[in-house]
Amino acid sequence: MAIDRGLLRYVAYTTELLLLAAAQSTPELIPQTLGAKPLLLVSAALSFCAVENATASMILGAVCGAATDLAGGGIGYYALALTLTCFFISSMLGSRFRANLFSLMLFSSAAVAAVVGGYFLLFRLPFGADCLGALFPSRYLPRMALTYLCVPPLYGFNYYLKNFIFKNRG
Amino acid sequence: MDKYKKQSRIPLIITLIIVSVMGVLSQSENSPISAAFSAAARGLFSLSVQAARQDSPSYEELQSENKALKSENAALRSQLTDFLETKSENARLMKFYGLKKKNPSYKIKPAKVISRDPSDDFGSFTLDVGKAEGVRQNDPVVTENGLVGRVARADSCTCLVRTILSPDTKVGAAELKSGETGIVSGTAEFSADSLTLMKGLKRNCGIRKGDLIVTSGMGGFYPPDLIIGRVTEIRFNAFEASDCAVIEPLDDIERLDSAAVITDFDGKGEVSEKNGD
Repeated sequence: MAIDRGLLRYVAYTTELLLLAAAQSTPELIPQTLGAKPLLLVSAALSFCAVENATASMILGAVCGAATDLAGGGIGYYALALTLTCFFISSMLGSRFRANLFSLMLFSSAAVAAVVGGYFLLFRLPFGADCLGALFPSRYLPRMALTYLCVPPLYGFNYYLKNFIFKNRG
Repeated sequence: MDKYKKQSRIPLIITLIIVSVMGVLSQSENSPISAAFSAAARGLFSLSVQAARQDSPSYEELQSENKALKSENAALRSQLTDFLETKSENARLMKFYGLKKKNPSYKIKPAKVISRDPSDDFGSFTLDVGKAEGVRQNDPVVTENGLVGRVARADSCTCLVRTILSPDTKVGAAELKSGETGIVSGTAEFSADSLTLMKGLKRNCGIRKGDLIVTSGMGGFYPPDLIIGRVTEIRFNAFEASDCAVIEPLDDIERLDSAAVITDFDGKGEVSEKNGD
C-alpha cells in the first residue's frame, strides 16, 4: 500500500514543531545568548513560507503562534500575528518574488521586527516608558536577532524535507 | 491571478475565525483547550526537562558505562534506581520541610518547573501541579528561601507562575526592624538584573542596605513573614515623592528548577490590619 508522501511530510512537520516547542520552553536546554533566547517557532513559521503554499504556510504559522502563546497562558497575539504574516509572505513568494532563501531572509527581517516588536509595543510598553530603555535593547533586540538567525537553518531543513525526503513522484 | 487571490482568501478567513474562537476559548481556565494543553504540556515538558538536565557524556564514557552496567546484577540495578529516585525526591521535599515545620498551617505542594514562557521578560514559569492538586489562582509560590511569585493561572495539571520580578505581581511587604511597609512589584528597569522594587516608602525611611524584606500578610493573598529579598539600594522616586528600595531576591528566579505552591494557610483571604495605617 502506497503511503502519501505529502501526508508523511506534514507528520514530519508536526514532529519538528513539537520538538521546537519543547526546546523553546524547556528551562536551560538552550542557553541564553546576550540575555535572550530565540523564538524557534516564529523562525519555523517563517521558514515554511518559502517551502509551502500560502494556505499551508498560514495554517503552520497559526499552529506555531498558538504553541508560542499557550506557553504563556492562552492563544492570542502570536497566533494571529503569525497567521497573517505567513499568509502575506507566502503569497508574495508565490506570486511576485522567487521563493528562495534570499527573498525569504528579506521578508523575514521585516516580519521578525514586526512580530516581536509588535509584542513589545502591545504588551510591554504599557508597563511604562522605562521598558523602552531597559527591556528593548537588552531583551528584544537580541531576541529578534537570534530568531532571525534561526530562519536559514530551519528553511534548509524544511526545504530538504520537502524536496528530497518527501518529494512526490511523477 | 484574481481567481487565485479570491480562492486563497477563503482559507485565510476560515483560519482567522478558528484562531479567534480558540483564542477566546483558551482564555477561560475551564476550557477544553486549556485542559488539553495543560495535560500535554505536563507530559511533554516533563520529558524534555529530564533530558535537558542530563549531562551529555562522550561516546567513550557511554561505552565504559555500558560495560559497567552490564556487569551489574539486574535486581541491584533496579534497587539502585529506586533508591536514587527516592533520594532525589526526598532532597526536593526536605527543602520545604523546614518551612512546613515552622508554619504548620501551610498546605504545601512541591513541584518541578517544567517550562518557561519564551516570550516573557519577567521569568514566568510553569509548574507541574494544577487544580487536581488543589492549586488555585493567586496562590503564593515559594522556595525554601522565600517568596518567588504567585499562581497567575491554574489549569488541570499545570499552573503558570508570575514571579516577583513582574509588574503584574504586587505584594504587601514590610521591613521587620523599622516596621516600614510598602508594595513590592517588578519593573522593566530592574527585572533584567533579576531585581525587584519596594515602592511607597516614606521619605528618609528607616530601611537600609542589607535589610531583609518580608511579606506583611495584609490583604490575605500571602502569608506574613515570607522572605522576599534583601535591600541592595535605596532610591528617591521623584514622581511619587517617596523612597523606594531595590530588592534582590534570595533565589535566582530565572534558573529555578523547583518550587512549591502554598495552597492554604491561616488567614488566607482575610484582610489583615497588621501594620496598617
